[in-house]
Amino acid sequence: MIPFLIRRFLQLIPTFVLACVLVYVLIQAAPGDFLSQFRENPRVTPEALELLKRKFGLDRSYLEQFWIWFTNFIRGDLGISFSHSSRPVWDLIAPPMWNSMILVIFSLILSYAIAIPVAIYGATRPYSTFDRLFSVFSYFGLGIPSFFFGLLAIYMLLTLKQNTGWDVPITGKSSSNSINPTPWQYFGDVFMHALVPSVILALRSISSESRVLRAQLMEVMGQDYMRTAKAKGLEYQKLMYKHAFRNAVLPIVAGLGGLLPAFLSGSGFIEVVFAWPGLTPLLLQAVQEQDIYVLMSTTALTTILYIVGNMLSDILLAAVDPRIRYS
Amino acid sequence: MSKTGDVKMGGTLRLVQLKDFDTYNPFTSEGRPSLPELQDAGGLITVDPNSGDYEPYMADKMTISKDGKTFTFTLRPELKWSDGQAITADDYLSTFAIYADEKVGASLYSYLYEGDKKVTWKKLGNLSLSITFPAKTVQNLETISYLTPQPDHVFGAAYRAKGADGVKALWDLKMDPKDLVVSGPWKVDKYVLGERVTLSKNKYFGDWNKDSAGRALPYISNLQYNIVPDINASLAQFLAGNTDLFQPTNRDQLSQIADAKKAGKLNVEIAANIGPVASVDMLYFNWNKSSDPVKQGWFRDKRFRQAMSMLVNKDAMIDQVLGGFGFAAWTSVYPLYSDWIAPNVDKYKFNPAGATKLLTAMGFKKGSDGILQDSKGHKLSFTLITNSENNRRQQLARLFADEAKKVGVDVKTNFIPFNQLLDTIGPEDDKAKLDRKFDSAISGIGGGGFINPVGVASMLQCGGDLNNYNSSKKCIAPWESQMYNLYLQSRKEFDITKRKAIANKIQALQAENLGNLYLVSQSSHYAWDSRVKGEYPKKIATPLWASSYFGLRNVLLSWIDEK
Repeated sequence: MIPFLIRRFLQLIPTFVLACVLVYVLIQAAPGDFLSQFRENPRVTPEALELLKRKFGLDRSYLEQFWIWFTNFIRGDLGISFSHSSRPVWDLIAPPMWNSMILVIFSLILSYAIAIPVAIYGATRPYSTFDRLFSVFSYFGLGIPSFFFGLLAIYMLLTLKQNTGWDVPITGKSSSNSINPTPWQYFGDVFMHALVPSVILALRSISSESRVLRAQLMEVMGQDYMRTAKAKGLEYQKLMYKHAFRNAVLPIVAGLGGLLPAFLSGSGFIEVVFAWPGLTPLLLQAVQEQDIYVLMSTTALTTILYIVGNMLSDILLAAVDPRIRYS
Repeated sequence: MSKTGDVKMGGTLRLVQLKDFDTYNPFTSEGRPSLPELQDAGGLITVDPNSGDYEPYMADKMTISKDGKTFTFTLRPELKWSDGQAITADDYLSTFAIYADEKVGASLYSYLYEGDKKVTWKKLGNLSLSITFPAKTVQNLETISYLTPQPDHVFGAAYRAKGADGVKALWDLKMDPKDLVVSGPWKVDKYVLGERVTLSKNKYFGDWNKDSAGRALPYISNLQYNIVPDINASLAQFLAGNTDLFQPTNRDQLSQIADAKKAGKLNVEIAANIGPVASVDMLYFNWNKSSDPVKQGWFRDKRFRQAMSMLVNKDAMIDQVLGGFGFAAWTSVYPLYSDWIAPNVDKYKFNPAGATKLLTAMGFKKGSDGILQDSKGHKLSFTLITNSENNRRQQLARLFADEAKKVGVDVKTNFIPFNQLLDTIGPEDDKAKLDRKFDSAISGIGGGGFINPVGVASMLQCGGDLNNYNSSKKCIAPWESQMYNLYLQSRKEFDITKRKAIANKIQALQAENLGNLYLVSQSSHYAWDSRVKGEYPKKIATPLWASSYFGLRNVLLSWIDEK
C-alpha cells in the first residue's frame, strides 16, 4: 500500500504542473486582459491604466507572470485578486468555498439518505408500482437541468409568498430580519435557505445513484453465492446488507473520491440561480473579468484535490473490496 | 420630494449589492460601488441637482483665483469624524499626499497629475486650504468633488510612520468595523461576507448636515446591503417584498413588477422610461487600414459616412431592439444631457434615397448582383463587428445591415468577444494602429463627467485611446484638429453658457463629418417599495437627475414610512 501511495504521489507532480500550464495557456489565449474592461470608461485615464498594469505585473512577459504565480503557489501564497482591490485569493475564496461545501454536504446527505433505501426497495421488489413510479421520476430528474428546476422553484415560492404570505426563503444564505442570532438560530436560518437548492441539487444524484445501485444490487443478488446463501437459510438482513450491499456499493465508493474536488468547485448554476454565495458565482465573475490568479489558484487547488480524491477512492475500494490489494 | 412635516426618522433601507465589497480601505478600494465611498461624506464641493452647478459642501466657502488654477476653501467648523474628532485641513492634506503617491496605487492617483505636472496644495490655517492645478480646466471642479478626506490621525499617521505600505496595510475586511473612522452619514456595523453588510447612523454627520427644517441628516437609521450576485435573484427578492429599491434594465423586468403591482400583490412605485442612461452605442469606420487602400479611401470620405448615417434607422432600433424604451443619439453628448445637445445635429437622418444619391455621386453603381460597385469594380461590401456578449449591439448591427442591403450595400456582421473587440479596435503597437484589421464596428461608451459632457480628450484627439475611427496620432481631416482645439478651449471656459456654445460648435463638426455614427441610448427605469419616501420631484427626475450618477433618490433625504 505504502509504495503505491508514494508512486501515486510522484505521479501527482507532473500531472499538477501540466494542468497548471494548460489552464494558464487557456486563460492567456483569451483576448485582452483584466484591464481591457476599463477601456469603455473615459474616466479611466491612460496613466491610471499604466499604473494598474505595473501594479498587477501585466507589463511582464507571460512566462515571467506564470513563474511568479507558480513559485508563490508552491509556497502557499495563492496570489492576489485583480478585481477585488488586491485581496489575497485565499481570503477571497475561503468563505464561498465553505458556503459551497454546506450545499454539497446537505445535498449529499439528502441524496444518499433517499437513494439507498429507494434502490434497495427497487432491487428487492423490481417492477412493483413504487419502483416503476420512481423510474419515471428518475427520467425527469436526469433529463431536466437543475437550474430549470431552480427557476421553477423560485417562481412557485414567489407565488406562494405573494398569495399567502408564507415566507420560504427564496435566495441567499441567511435572512436579513434576524439581528444577532444565536448560533442555533443562525444554523436554522441557513438550513432553511439551503433546503430548496440542496433538494434540487440532490434530485439528479438521487436519480442516478439509485438507478446504479438498484442495477448493481439486482445483479449481485442473482449471483450463485447469493442463491446458495439464501438456500442455506441466511437471514434476509444479513444477506442484504452484509453480502449484497457491500458488493453492490463498489461503483459508488469508486465515485466518492470525485466528491473532494466537488467541495471546491461548487454546486454550479444552482448557486447562481439561488444567489447562494458559493464559489461558482465568484469563478464566473473571475472568468468574465480575467481575474487570472483567482482562476489559476482555484483550478490548481481543484486539481490537487482531484488527485488526492482519486487516491482516497483507491484506498476506500481496497477497504471494502477484499479482491483489491495494492502491493 | 416630501414636505418637511411628513418626514419620519429611523427605519432600515434594504438594498441589494451584486458582489461583495472588497475592503474598508479608501486608498486600495477599486470596486464600485465601494464600501469606503458609502461611508464618505463627499467632497469639498458638490452638485446642486436643481441647477447643475457646483456649490460648497464640506467647505463653507470657495474662491477661484484669477488665473483659474487655484481654488481656496474654508471648511465648515462643525465637521467631525465618526470618533468625534474635528475634520481639519490636515486631514485633506495628508489624504492628497497619499493619493498622489504612486506606491499606494489609489484609483484617484491620476487626478492629481496633469501629464508630468502635479497638483499642489497648501494649508492656510486649521480650517482653510488651497489646491492649485497645473492648468486651468473646468474639470478641476469635478476632480475636487471626488477628493474626499480621510482621517489624518489614522491614515496620515500610518503614512508618516511606514509610508505607502503602512497605508495599504490598514482597514482590510478582517478588521473590526467598530474601529473605522469615517466622515459620512453611515458607518459599517457588521459585515458577513457573501451575505450582508449593515450600516448605522454616524451621529456626528448631522452636526453639519441639516435639512431645511433644521433636522439632522440622515433620516434613515440603518442601511442594509444584501449581497445577491444574480440579477434575476435580486428581482425575485424585490418581487417578494424583501428589498426596497430595484432598477429594471429591460422591458421584461419592468413588466413583471408592473404585473405584480397591478394584481395588488406588491406595494411598490414604478417610474418607467424616466430618461436616457449615461451611455450610448456608436458605429464607426476604420480610417487606418493601410493594407486595404480601397476601403480606407471609402471610410475616409465624408460623403460615404453621411450616406451610411442615412441608412441608420434609429426609430426602428428604439422600437425593435429597445422595446420602445430608448433615445436617438447624434453626437458625443449623450441624449441624457438634453440641454447640451446642439441644434440641427440630426442632419443625416434615416433616408435611404438620400444615401443612394450620395453613393451615386461617389461613383457607385449597382452591379448585376444588386450590390453597388465603385468605378473600378470593387463591391461595396464590408464587415461590421461587435461584441458577442451584447445582444443589443448585435441586433443594432443586424438592423443596420438589413437597411443597407436594401440599397445595395453588403454588410456582413461578425460577433466576437468583448476583449477581442477592444484589442482589434485599439491595438497597442504604434505600427498596428495604422493598419487595424477591422472595417467597421459598434461599441459603446459610458460614464464620464457632466461638467463638460461633450467628451474627454482621449475621445476627441487624433489617435486618442478612445478615438475609434482614427487611431493614428496624425489628424487626417482638418475638422479633426479643429474639433480638438475647440475642446481644449472648452476645458478652460468656466462660464457655462460660453462652454455650451463651444460644445455646439464641436457637435456641428461631428454632425457634418460623422467620425462616429452615434446610435441610441437605453432608457432608465426605477421601482421602489412604497414605504420608501423622498424621491426627487418628477420635474428634475427627467432627464439628468434620474441618471446613473444620482438615481431617482438622494439616500440622505429619503425616509421610511412604516405603516
